[in-house]
Amino acid sequence: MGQYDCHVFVCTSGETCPTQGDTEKFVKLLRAGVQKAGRQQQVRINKAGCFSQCGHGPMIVVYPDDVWYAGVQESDLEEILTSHILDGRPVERLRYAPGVPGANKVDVPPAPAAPAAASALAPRPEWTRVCRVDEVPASGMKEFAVDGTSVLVVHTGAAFVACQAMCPHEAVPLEQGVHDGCLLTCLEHTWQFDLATGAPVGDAETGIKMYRLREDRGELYVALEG
Amino acid sequence: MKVLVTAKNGTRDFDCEPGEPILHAGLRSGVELPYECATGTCGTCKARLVSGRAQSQWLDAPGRRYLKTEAELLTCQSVAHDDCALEVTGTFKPQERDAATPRAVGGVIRRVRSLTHDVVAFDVDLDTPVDFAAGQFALLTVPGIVGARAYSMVNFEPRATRLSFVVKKKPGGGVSEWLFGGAVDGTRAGLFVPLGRATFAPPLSRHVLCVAGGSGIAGVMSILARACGERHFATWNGHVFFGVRTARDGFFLDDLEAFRAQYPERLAITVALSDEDVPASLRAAYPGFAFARGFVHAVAAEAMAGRYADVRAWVAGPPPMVDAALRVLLREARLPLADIRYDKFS
Repeated sequence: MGQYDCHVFVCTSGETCPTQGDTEKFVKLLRAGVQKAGRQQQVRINKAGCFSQCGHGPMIVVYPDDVWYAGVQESDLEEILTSHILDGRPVERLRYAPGVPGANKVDVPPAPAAPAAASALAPRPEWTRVCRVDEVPASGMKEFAVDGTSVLVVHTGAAFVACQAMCPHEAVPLEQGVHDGCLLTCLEHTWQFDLATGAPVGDAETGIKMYRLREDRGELYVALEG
Repeated sequence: MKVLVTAKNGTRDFDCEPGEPILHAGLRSGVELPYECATGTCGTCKARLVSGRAQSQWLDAPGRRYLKTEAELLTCQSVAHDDCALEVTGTFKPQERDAATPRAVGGVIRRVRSLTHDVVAFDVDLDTPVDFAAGQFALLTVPGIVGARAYSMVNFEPRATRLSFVVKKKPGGGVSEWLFGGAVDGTRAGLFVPLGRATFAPPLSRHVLCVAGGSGIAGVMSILARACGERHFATWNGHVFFGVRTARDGFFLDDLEAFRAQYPERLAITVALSDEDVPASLRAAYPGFAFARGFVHAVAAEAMAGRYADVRAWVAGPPPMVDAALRVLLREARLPLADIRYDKFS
């Protein structure tokens, strides 16, 4: 028998989880919830390093239940806390079941550098300015014309990603669709795309092109080539 | 005529009668061609003519906006003139559980009755019984009006000899104006039935969430009839959100109350009024319902927040309402598409 009934690990220092959500804040919120419920003696919330599932984050793992959650958003924490951590009922809709054991990283575009760290580095010539950060609605998306190319900039909740602006199916603007931070859905015929990789999901037959994007002093820059 | 269709997952062939839409010929032969609305709007049935001659019957079909070349056509609006080979972009999909192979069947329009100032209900007494899954729809053709209209069945029963429908009056809306014109009782109608994938077919280990706007409640009534008949709400919850503009636009409320009364613990009915505050008289008449002012997708989003575990959702109504509900289900509820079934009435 271990020291805690429920031991929760939140990836805060892997390569992608902390760019896909404010996982440090996740830890604070979960700890506050456990404290509020008076369960600090039974439940431990730990910061964790990489689970080797990069691209599926933000990830949270709960032991001894051995339940893994992928793509967790801040709005999901309340349900994970009240249903699972405090009441033992896992949140099925968020469960991670990739069907492959062990490491399962997906290739993700390089995370946009944090503004403070990046400010010393001027963007290299291949980078073209897209917009100010605040021109993209929080957790929303907006289409921009960059050197004659239409680029959709998506705010996934904590990070910005960029992709082609038109659905590859019927050339409908993806900006009119909807995303949840992980999946982008075109509402015209519900083709879906993985925002981390651009890969097609479900009925979609082709993926979308993702562009590298970086942030520098409150401005977003895209690399249209390469 | 022989029609050969190639999709990503195979090649199938079937016979096509003169004047018969290619989609209908395929479906009645058991070839599950891609389609969604079957009435020329959505573009899902787009195909490319590789060889042979085929002709579009409705050159103004809204779905033709998706066609990029002369060789492309909508199978729901096109007929073959000789042996044809087609390519489709979608895939052949297995038939929905409970759903029968669709076919053309005749019937007689009976019992046309007003439900509100702009909604009528009517039945079609069928020449031969049909099987369908709860939530499916039929294409209806009536004398003197060109083209088929899609209406969801309200009732559910195996080997149905009668199909019930509701229609909202739309100015210039051919069939709906014709129905409101009176003296249509006894008219013969043609049906192609059953169609659609927004089905509820037990057993299903899911809570049921239905979000319907206006006449979109039709398929929900069929789903509730099926679910109550199977005692689904003895184990699983049901959340029904029905949106109309004002209290005088509400209909089927007594029928919804009858379903609710069978499973008062688990089946919840919420009526959303978009254009007026909820009158006290309406609350008093249906004390078992919840009421709210607002658009039905917003009312549902507020009531369902944090309650989407193990939910399957059905959405039906006008396209803006359906899109708004899909946004909630994909973004807030984060339901997988496999757990979202919808019909857009455009």
